Amino acid sequence: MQRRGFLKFALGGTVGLVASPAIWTTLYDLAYWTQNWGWIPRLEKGENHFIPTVSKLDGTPITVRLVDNRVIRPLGNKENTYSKGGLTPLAASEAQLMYSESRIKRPLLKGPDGGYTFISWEKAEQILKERTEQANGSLAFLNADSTSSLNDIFSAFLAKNGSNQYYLMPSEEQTAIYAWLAMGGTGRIGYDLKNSDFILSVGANFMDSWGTVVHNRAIFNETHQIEEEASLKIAYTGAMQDSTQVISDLWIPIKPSTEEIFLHGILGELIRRGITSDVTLLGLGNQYTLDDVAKYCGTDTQKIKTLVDELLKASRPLVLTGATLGQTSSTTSIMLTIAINYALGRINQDGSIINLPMQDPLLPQAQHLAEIYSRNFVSFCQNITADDHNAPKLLFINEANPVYALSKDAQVEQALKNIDYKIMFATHWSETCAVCDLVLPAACGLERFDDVYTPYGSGSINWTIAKPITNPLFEARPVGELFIALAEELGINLGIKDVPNLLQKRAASLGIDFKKQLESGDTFVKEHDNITIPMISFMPLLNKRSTPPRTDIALLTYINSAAGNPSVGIPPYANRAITAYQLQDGLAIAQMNKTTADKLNLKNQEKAFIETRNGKMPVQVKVFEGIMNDVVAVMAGLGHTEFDRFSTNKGNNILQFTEIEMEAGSDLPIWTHACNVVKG
Amino acid sequence: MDYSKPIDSALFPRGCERCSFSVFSLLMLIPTALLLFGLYAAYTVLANGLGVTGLDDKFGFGLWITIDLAVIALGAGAFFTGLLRYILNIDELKHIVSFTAVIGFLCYTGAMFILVLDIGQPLRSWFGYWYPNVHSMLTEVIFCITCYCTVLIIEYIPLILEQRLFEKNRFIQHLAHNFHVYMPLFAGIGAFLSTFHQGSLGGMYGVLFGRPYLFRDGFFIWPWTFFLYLLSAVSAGPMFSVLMVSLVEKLAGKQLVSWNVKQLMGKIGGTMLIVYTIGKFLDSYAWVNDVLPRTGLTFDQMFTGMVYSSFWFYAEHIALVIGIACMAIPSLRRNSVFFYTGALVTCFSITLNRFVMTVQALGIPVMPFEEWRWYWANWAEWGAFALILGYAIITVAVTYRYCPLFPQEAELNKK
Amino acid sequence: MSHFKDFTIRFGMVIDLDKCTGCGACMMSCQAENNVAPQEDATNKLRSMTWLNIYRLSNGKAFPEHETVFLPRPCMQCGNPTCVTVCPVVATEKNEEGGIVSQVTPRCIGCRYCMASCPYHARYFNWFDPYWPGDLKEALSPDVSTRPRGVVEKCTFCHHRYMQAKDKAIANGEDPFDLPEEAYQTACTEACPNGAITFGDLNNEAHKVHELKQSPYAFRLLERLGTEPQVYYYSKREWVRRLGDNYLENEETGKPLNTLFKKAH
Repeated sequence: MQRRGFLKFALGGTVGLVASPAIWTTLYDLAYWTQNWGWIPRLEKGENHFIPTVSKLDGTPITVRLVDNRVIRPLGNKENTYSKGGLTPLAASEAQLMYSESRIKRPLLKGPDGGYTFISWEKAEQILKERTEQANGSLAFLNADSTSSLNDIFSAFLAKNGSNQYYLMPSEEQTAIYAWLAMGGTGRIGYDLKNSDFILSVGANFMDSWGTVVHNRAIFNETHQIEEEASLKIAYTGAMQDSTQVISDLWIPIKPSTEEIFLHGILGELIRRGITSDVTLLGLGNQYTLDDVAKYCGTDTQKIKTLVDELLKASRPLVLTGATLGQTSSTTSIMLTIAINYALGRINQDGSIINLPMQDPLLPQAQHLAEIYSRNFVSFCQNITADDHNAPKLLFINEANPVYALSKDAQVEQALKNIDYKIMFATHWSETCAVCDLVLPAACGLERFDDVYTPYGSGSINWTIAKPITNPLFEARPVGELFIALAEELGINLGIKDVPNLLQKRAASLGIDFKKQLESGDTFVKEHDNITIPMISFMPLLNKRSTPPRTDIALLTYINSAAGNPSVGIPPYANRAITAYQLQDGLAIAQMNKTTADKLNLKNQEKAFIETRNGKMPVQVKVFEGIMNDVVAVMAGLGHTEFDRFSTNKGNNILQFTEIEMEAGSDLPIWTHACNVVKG
Repeated sequence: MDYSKPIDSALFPRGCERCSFSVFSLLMLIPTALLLFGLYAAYTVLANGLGVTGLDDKFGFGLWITIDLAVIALGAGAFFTGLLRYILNIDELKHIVSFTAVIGFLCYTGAMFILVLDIGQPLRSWFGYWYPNVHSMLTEVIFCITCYCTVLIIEYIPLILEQRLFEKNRFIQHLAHNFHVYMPLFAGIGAFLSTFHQGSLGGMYGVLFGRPYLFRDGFFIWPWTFFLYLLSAVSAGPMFSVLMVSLVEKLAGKQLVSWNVKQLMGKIGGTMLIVYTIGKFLDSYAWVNDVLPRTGLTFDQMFTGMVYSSFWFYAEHIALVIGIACMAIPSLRRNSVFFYTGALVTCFSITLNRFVMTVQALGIPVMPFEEWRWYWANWAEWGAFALILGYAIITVAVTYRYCPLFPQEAELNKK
Repeated sequence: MSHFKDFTIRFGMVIDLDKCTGCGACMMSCQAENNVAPQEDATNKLRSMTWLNIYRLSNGKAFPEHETVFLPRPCMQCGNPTCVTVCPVVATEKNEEGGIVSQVTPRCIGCRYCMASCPYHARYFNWFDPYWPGDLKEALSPDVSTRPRGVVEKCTFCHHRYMQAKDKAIANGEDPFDLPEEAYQTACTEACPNGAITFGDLNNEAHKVHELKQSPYAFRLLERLGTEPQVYYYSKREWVRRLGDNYLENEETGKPLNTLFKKAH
């Protein structure tokens, strides 16, 4: 080939290639190909449906988005008058939790070697029946959820089998009902936050973990419109700058476990200001001098005085008491709170403490809430541990996770060991599942009929229906229906044919149309009538002496409301919402201020141990100035050993280490804040 | 056959002696080990994703970008020497120009390889051509670096063509001749491309107005880091080439480039260093007194701890002054201790500059409620560095053994 | 210096920091809405994909003078974004009516230059391939494509919702460029149980944000850098507003003597 020929060829070739689509098409194909990652999921289109229901995780009304039949995610329910469209982080995770890897897929039977094998539902039903029959009345039931009408099915079933051993997980509601009834209340204690103009919350983090959180937030939102004057003032005594503190107008941090003394102080100051002439109340007012109160609580007298000024200035003040985890208050502190509200003339008024009617059971032989709460699960466990003759032959557990959630002081594990046979109904594989003999897959909140009836902290009777928006995944079954069927097998008539039937009864008892309520997805709210003010007696308070906390350092356990609950573990997305000041390097974080750290001879980021009588828990120290002196805050909800990859390998479970004491008089458990912090 | 000579002696450049093939092979085991470790690291990165590195959402740039920027600056000896030799006809540089081309070739191909690892979607690396954003300095960098890499390959080819193996092949001889004839053209193109991408690399940082540590404006043209990067490269490039020559000399145990040529390189680098240093000092002054206050930040807020200490800021500047003293003062330059010290501190200053502008710039909290963050490169990142190190050592060793890399070698080592 | 056009519609937020309690409902909703893959371990906050991140701000004082504020940080959708100009492959743009900074993940080469440019850390990299173990895939929304490893992503103000709102307006014979405020809301805005986020068209007088952004309590993050964020914050506390930007000691909150692109005369 000649040079000229070569050049012609090269030139022609180049022009030809550029002009032909070959190169460009190939390049475009290549561009698309490099975008094609076959192993990541493709999206499936479909028709959108939006169905209103309520999250059984925390009672938040939601609207669930479905695409064809797939549950995509819960959104806030804008039509709901109770939540006003708000969503909580936990309710937002409900779809992920429904699809979670830790869902129990089929009935599991524990073998002699301790391992579990899948069994059929027929077999499971047979065991259920046989075990119930064999128990011959020696059976007990533990349920996690006090807001569900299904409690009536379970407790009626138990009663018809000759047992009254029906338990709910310990909660502040139990303490409050005890206190309220003891003081002459006739129903349940309610707190009308909605109509109040000044809320003093003694330790209750009502924006995050106390009461009807999404409703409380809706109230806060309405009273705090941007660019407008707030129509609600909030005072808070929590020891840490948490969700409620950051929106409060007045912060009087007091040491955990000094709530009673603080309430005494407030009451005393109110009495000194001549607010009441009630003789019994006057007797209560001088247990502590204001200086003592300030000293024990770690605050100063001026702050208490200012707070009392504000209380007196407010036209509709409300005082409420609670603990961060909703499980630690004493009946005394609730009673003192009632006394203060009473002194302020704030019982059964708009925005005050409300005497909510106690609901009558919907089924014959089902137990009243007050009756259920007259027994407590901690004592139940402790008694069984002390003497296994106290143990029932059979224990049913529905969705509760006491092995994880209760302190070692409650001796749950040993108690469960002493019980012959344990049958667990659970949506997710939990620490408690792992110690039960038969574990049955329960339908989760989006897969079953259920309801949320007047949760603790409500100011009104309210009711929201949960309905199945999808068929149960795997072989899960709704536990309510299961018990109705089991009763039938055993020849017991519960008086209903299915759960909707039960909910119809609830609707009838409230005088509303069931179908309409079911379809609307709204929360039915029945405001109190402020005519009947109960006779309040202060006698139960007279002989109570409050003692200052046992240890110098107080342990404050708090939750991250995104990070699940003991029954479902940590939702997959929630890991990102667990902050660097809650979990780091595989250790739970102990937040404390510099003064406390110096006092304990600890440095920021240093390893340390939280020490209680239940053992030593490793933590990492983080200095945070938004916490009062001598208080160490640790997040609860970590340290799961079961569930799935999203829940495990995350620090330790502080709940196991907390100390429980039984309150004299009420015999109810109180979570103390006693702890020491030692160098790692 | 002369059995006293190494088995592959027929391939050695004319008049040059080399160690025995077995010794050579044994020595090559060291860079081979580096290379294999690097290949494993590279495989891990490509197979699993960049999560295996120590990079994170704050330090999207880390060791790799620092290395890339540093070697591209240090490899600037190639284009600058080429420019001086072929365009400005400084004839003496012909004794070193091939070697600088090889160093440049290694720096750029190494950087390219690291970039392939560094971008999250290597299969899309050509999108820079396909969907170019003309506003982006990085687009410009992608264009110029890839083009210049081609030029470096072209500059490297004649060395191979001059291998004794091809002495008899007329076509290759012609080709090699033609390469030499057209070399000024490539040198010109190389200089053009290099000027732009060296500048653009600086520009890449100078335009980041979200990063008060990096942003540079207010002068009649901005980002003026464009010129600082170019000038720092042409200062450090020749010096780095000399350092590399001397390293090879140490390893080979003989002189390969005459002292005069090295001195000339030093003089050239030193001259450029004066210009760069003036620019750099003016830059720092303007940054501290003009740019930073406008962002609401102060000099002290830019530094913390050991790694991000202001010590490094001062060290970078002082090193330049030392470099100038050693290179620009003839009496000091002629002293080999000062000469090499000068070259070393200059390369150090420029490398440090690339580090602080990459890592420290990202570690600084810009939002007032942020915290300082630290970054440590992990084994996978160092592994990639080991890979290009191993690759470079092997390439230089093989090229030196078989190609006429140093035209003066035979003459300087006559017995 | 901005060469970005002035859009007729400019979506933005006003986030009331006095109302945020950092509960994380917005973060959760954001992840679910945008098909972000879950993470087993997210303790390394520099490796966790949080399009919307929540910062805990401190007034820097010791107890008892200490105050805490939570600050949710979506993408600021800057009027003069640092990220758009630097992207070598036009994988992020600001050229659509509405003024949202887009992110074209199928085109992104993963060079992370945009991340280096963004002072708000609003951009996140996919360090590994996303993974939805078990049946979690079932909950993927059909609205937002999943992204492979090696690309950068960020908050898009739920751009798919904007498109849906426009489509709906067109179908109803309404003007897609004059949407009422409630027609298009982001997932985080909707989710916030405290109503801390207000979202809308900053240019539209009928939208609340138009008025709110002019409040003396409204401020933007790092305003003096000239990024022109479309996300405004709101707080009645001065220390919070002062934490929104870097101030020299002698400068008053909200009144810097100089800004990056404008010198005092």
